[in-house]
Amino acid sequence: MIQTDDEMLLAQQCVANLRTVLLEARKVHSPPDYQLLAEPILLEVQQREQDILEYLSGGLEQRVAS
Amino acid sequence: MHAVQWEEFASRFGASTPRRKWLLGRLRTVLSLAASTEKLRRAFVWGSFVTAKASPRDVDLLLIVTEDFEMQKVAAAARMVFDSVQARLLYESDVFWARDSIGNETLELWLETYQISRSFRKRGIVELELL
Repeated sequence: MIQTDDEMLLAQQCVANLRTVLLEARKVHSPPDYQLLAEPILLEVQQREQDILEYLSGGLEQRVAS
Repeated sequence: MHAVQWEEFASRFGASTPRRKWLLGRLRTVLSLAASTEKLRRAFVWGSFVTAKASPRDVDLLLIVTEDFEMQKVAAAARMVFDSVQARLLYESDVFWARDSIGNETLELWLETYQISRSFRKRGIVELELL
């Protein structure tokens, strides 16, 4: 999914933004409500972090292979 | 970001194919249930439904509710809307939500982030004008 270093940096920024959203949400929701609203955001964070790891791992594999 | 009334939204995004008509019905139900709480303030839609794609996979939706919204006071049917797993199963919608006390700055950051897809395409976000 991520094909360039710039895209990886953008993905990292998106993850940072979503973490900020979660931190702010924790302040204004009860724990059970926060748990419900956080679930899809956490999934998005997880997917974007996975994209970042795959991009970084892919580069490593290519270097090892060569 | 565009703000549109329901009629315009429905004719633009919910009329051209059977799949779009079906999803528009799902969205209408979600919004109706959310509005039944009397706490719904704003609604934003993004993703494939607000593109020209003939057969969108689902509807991506962010609901902003009032500061005094409490899930435990919400009727069972409407509660399904605010549970992302149930909403996906019942309404083919990825529903995100938060109280408006999260603040405009955080809301803008949230929307700005979701404007960037995982494939780094800029996505449009539509705000539905609520009656």
